[in-house]
Amino acid sequence: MSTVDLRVNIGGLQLKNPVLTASGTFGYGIEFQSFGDLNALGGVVVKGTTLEPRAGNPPQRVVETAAGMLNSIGLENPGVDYFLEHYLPQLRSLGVTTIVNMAGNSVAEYCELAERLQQPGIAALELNISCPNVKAGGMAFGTSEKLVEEVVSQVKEHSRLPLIVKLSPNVTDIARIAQAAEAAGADALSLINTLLGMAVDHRTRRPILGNVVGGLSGPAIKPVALRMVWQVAQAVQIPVIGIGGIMTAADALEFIICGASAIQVGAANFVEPVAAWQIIDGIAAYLKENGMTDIKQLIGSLEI
Amino acid sequence: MISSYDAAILENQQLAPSIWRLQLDVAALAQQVRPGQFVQVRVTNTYDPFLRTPLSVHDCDAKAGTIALLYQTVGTSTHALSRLRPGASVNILGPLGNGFTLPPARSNGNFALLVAGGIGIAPLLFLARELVAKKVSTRLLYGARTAADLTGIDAFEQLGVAVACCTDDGSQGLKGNVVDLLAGYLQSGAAGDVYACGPTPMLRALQQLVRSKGLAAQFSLEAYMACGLGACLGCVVAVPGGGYAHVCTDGPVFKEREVEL
Repeated sequence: MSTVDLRVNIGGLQLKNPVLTASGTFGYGIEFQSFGDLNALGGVVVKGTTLEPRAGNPPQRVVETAAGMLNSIGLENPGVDYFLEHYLPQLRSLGVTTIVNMAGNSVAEYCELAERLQQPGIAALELNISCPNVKAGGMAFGTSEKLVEEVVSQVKEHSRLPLIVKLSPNVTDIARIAQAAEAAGADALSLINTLLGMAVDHRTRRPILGNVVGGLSGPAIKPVALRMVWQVAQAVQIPVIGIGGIMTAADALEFIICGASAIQVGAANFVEPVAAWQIIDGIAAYLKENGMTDIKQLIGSLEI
Repeated sequence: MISSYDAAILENQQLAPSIWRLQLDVAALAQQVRPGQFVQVRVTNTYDPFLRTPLSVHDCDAKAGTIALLYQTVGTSTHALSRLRPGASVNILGPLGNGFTLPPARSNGNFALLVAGGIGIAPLLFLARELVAKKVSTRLLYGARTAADLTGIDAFEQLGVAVACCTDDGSQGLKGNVVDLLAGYLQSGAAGDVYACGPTPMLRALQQLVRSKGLAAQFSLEAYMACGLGACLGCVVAVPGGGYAHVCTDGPVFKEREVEL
């Protein structure tokens, strides 16, 4: 595998390969240590982190659906202080490329989080803008160009780390939201977050999730994700990270061909904990088989 | 250590209209798994069903290198599992979860009262085997809807475990639920440490009973989960004082005081 160069640069974030694990699907990486070398991954995007600890939503929180699953975890996490004291030292000593996913309900919260996370051992920040903005009547930041510009530009002022903005697919025109994030100073974009969905039990006539609605992930959403990555990659100059139903190296390659400079493995981690490592090997094997020496030859190589 | 194993199916046998017993050849797991722990079974390599199926270890033979899983056909995954035949294999992750806390060997006068509701019998055979090996006097109280659903009683009796049954329809044993059965048994002044698994309403009633009698109890809980590894945070149970515990990594076995059912 030494003959292929898998390194990519994501808006100043240097990765040894383009395979990251998606926030909320891989814990803090530590949970998966028995399945592979965390340091061999492009990076780990840790569980969505908030200023204060959050207990999360009442159960039932997950349900299996056709070729996928719905979740409504409700951002359960121990808060930024616990992360910095407990998990970051472990990740730092393991040498893991650590990206922290930030969640908040106001611009001020995001800014404070970003400031607190300017720490050695944190390689980049990922901004989850699918959260409701309490000051805008609970409207998700990621659904309005104006709110996206505001939160991204403010967070940039409080952070010198590369900032990846994670886009919500639950919008009318994702390319315009992407352009708003880019204009506000985002260093890279990651997409897609989960698609809002719902499951109902016809026998009890009740919703299955405690939160009634939840985020759909898994292979079921891959075609939607691929289309959005392709549209966004054409609309912006900054690097794009593809996410959505990636189970295999073939899936990852399709996103890269559509313009993604890196990818995140999400729900696949739940089903096959070695998926991310298998995908790295599969990408390298594909490049070799196709006589390529550098992953960058493949990025955005879609022919229409 | 948690690992992924390709386990050959030795036997997949229907014991009751909707209850099956799967015997797997998986020596490395059999040698380390403890009663109350579970595995995540990947039934097919397709995307539907998508998730693994969490199943508690029903029995284990470390010498033979086998484990048995008892499961109820309730959804796509378990129905697909029931169609697999010996010779096929399934991928399993394990051992997962904490398992039961067993008393020290020959602890004087420590009786074990195993309480099962329906498919809640699953983790209790392996537990009974270990308790008996520790010379703990063990009794099973087992409730199901109807006689045909009471499965595997012989295996307990062969271990020397006294078994008392009840059914909702009265077709075998006492007519009523297993909490009533236990309450009746305790009226004679008997006592013991309770180890239970079953539906939440049953455990909730049992929690009241053991509290009123001052008995120690451990509950093995069931929850919908995606990973089983503590990553998805899907499988939570409320804890006293607010917040949640994770059934996959904090459990699946909890002391009854640790959970709000």
